[in-house]
Order: sequence, then structure tokens, then C-alpha cells
Amino acid sequence: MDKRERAEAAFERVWDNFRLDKARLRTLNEKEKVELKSLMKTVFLSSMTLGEIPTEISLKVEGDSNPEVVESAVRRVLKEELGGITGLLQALKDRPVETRVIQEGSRDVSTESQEVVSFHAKMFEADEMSTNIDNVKVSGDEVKDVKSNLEALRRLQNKKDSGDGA
Amino acid sequence: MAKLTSLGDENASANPKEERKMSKVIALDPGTANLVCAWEQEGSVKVSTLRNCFFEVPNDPFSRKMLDKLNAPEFEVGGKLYLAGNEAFELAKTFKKELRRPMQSGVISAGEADAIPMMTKLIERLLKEAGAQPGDKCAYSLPADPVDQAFDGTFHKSIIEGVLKKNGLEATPVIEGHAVVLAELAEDEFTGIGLSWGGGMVNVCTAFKSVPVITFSSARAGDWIDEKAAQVSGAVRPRMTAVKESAEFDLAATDPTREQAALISYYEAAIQYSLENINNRFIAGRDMPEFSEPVDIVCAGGTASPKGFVEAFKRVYDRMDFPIPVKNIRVAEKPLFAVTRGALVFGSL
Repeated sequence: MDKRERAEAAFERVWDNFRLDKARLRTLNEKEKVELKSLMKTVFLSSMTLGEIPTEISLKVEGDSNPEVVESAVRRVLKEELGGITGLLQALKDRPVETRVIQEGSRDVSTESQEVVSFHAKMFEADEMSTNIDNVKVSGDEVKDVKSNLEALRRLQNKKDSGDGA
Repeated sequence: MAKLTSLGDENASANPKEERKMSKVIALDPGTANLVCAWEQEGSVKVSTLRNCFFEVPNDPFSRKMLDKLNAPEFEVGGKLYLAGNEAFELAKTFKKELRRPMQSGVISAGEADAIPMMTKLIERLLKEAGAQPGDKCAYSLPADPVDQAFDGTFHKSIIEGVLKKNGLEATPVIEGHAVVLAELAEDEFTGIGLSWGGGMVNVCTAFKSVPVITFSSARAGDWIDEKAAQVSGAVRPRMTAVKESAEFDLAATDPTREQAALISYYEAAIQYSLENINNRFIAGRDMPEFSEPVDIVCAGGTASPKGFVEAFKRVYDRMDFPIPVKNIRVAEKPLFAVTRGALVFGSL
């Protein structure tokens, strides 16, 4: 698998995770999700394969009856959903980074999406790290089994389901 | 994915793949100070732990030779050489060096982005120890929203989940304090107060018949105690951590050393702070249930491990006018592992 293929595979995993985490994404329709995924993939692959973060991303939706609506929804998610962690992400990189989502002839909207994906990508650097990880000593122990807790919890849930609980 | 398949194959004698009729449940507590993993094996629950820390060493032939001789685990990333895990803690203590932490205050540290690959590796090391295979389920603990910190837990959650999913596991989060309730309050129908005293945060969960009613966290925990005690003792933090974890340390000691006295003092301050936070939340909480009977307060986490913790807790508690009746204050049998036990219950449901 070459570097780009690995990056694409990595992105699919990041996307799965991202999508599950972001409840707001569930409010988007399929077309909007496809556009958002495509945009994030561009940023991610640039970061992974070129080793640099693009400072401008072109967002242009074609072939839809109302592309502006789709673009607007994608921007809204990027801006509103990711905006809350801007400070954290900037601190991580120790520098302000701004990527502009642009569309020919339309207004520009700032977003920090590239920071999210590049930070996610950090975990995949582990695959390329040189290490003798097996030398890390793990402390082991044993604790009480959890069967009685599970049984107690199931009994309680059954009571609740049957209306006998509090 | 192929990687974990090979991990499973390596553990074939312990967990023959062909005998695995259903996916395994693994619990992970990615704490600020320790990473803890638990899983059921042959009728008991096994746990593995690693120190969640690292420090940089000079990337030169001399250092490499020395580390090779020590058979120490090295990590090289971006041209830098690091030691991580338990060995890093031991060496930092010996050479009086400050450790770096991938996490701070219960979440991925904003200043340690480069530590993410290392933490990923450490988690994968524990998953390997647990014999994790793609398709297995992993219930992992998450801190509750803090009352005194401004951080976004969503981001931390997505990173931890990302590591687990990268290894093909089905990830399920459980709030840390809730995990303590599930591990320790079965005899009270999971009604009471669970506290997880970690390195970065104290996590609190008030539960009524297993349902978490109030959950929150606050930042004066083990690291805060170590840092403050180190400041007044003129020592480095790993030294204070080692004193705190030594068998001799007793929070009820009548003739403590200077370092021990500093730790005892800040322990009481941290307990006071946590109880005040609980008090305030109870007073402010309109959604608090009416407990018909007094409830237990159970403490877990590595910071609750020293001898005399319960006595110190009770000393502070007795000075307060607590808003709900309390029957008993106790510490979990193995405090460091209670969160993973609870996560195992949650993941096995």
C-alpha cells in the first residue's frame, strides 16, 4: 500500500469516527454529507501526503438543483460544529491557522477543519513510529469478577421494565 | 486491522481464535496518570496498567547505547527520542527529571499534540496484553464535564475512540464516576455517590438505581496535590508521586516527614475542594432525587489508594454540613482498578 492509499484508508477511519461523534452531521442530507466528506478528505490527504496544510480550500458543488444550499450547510457544520474547539487546536499547533473555504464569486467563510483532521492524523503516525514497544513493561493484577454486578444490574433493569422499580 | 489480527495470533495459546465464539469485552480507563485495561479471562478479571507519561532523551549514539543496555522501551518520532511508560517514570524519578504527560486534567493535553502517537502506542500495548482482536468491544471511561476547567471533552472522546476504532474495536464510552458506581454499589442497587480520584480530575457521580443523576469533575486531584507538595518541598513531581505511592505513606501519620506532611496537607485541601463542589452542586441541583435512606460514598482511583485516605476524607466531611444523609464512606478494594471494573460491567450489559 503506497502512502496515498494508506492516507486514504486512514481518512476513512477518521471520517467514520468523526461522523459518529458529530450529532449535527445527522441533520445533513446525503448530498451534504458527501460534500463535507469530500472537502475534509482533500484537507486530510494534503496534510498526510504533502506534509503541509492547505490555506485555501475550494468548495464548489456541482450537479445539484440547489448547490448553494448544500454549500451553505457544509459551511455551517464546519464553522459551527468545529468552531468550539478552535482555541484548543490553535494551542496544540502553537500558532494561529486559518483555512478559508472559498467559492468562485461568493463570500469566504473561515474554518479550522484542517486542524481537526491533521490532529486526528497524529494517531496514525504511531504506525510509522520506530519503537521497541514490547519492551514496555505492563503491570498486571487480578480483581473480583463482575458477574454479580451484572446480575444485580440486570435484575434492577428488569424491575424497572416491569414497572416495579422506583 | 491486519495488525491486531497478528496480535491475536501471537496470543493464540492463551486465547485460541477458533474458540472465540463471541466478541470479547475489554475495558479501558485512559487516565491522566495511568492507563488501565481490564478483561475477563478464565473466570476472573485481569487488569494491566501502564504509566501514561514520557520524557525526551538526547537522540545520540551514547544515549541509544545506554537505553539498549537497559533494554528500555524507546520511541522515535520526528527525529526525537523518547522513553515512555513505567520505565520513563522510574528514570525520571532517578534523574530528578520532570515527566511529560499526553493528558492533563483528564483529557488529551493541549500542549502535547506530539504525544498522541505515543499514547496510541501505549494503548495498543495494553490492548495487545488483553488479546484484543478486531470486532471486540471496548468500553472506555470519559471524564464528566468539569466545573472548574474549560475544555472540550468531545475532542478527547474522538481521539480515544479513534485509537480504538483504528484497531478494529467497537468503542463505547462510560462516564468515569458512573463506572465507579457500577463497580462498587451493586449491594445498594447502584444508588449512592461514586468518586474517582484520578491524576488529573476528581470525577463525581450521584446515581439513583443505576441512573447517573448528577455527574461532574473538578481539577484538584493527584497531579495538583503532587505539584503543590513539590513546590513547598523543593522536590520534582515524580518524587512526590513516588512518596505518595510508597507503602510507608499514611494520611493519618502522626509523625510525618516534611514531604509527607506537605502531601497530607494538600490531600486535605483537595478533599475539601471536592466536597465543597459536591455540596454546591447538590444545593443548586433541582433535579436531585430524594434519597429515602442514607447512601454510601465510595472513592476509587489511584489518588484514593494511600493508607488513611478514608480517615482524611471523614475528617473533612465531619467539618461540613453535607446536604444528603450518608451511611458509609469507604474506598474501593483496589481503587486504581474500580473504573475499569465498572466499565467492564457497562460494556458487558
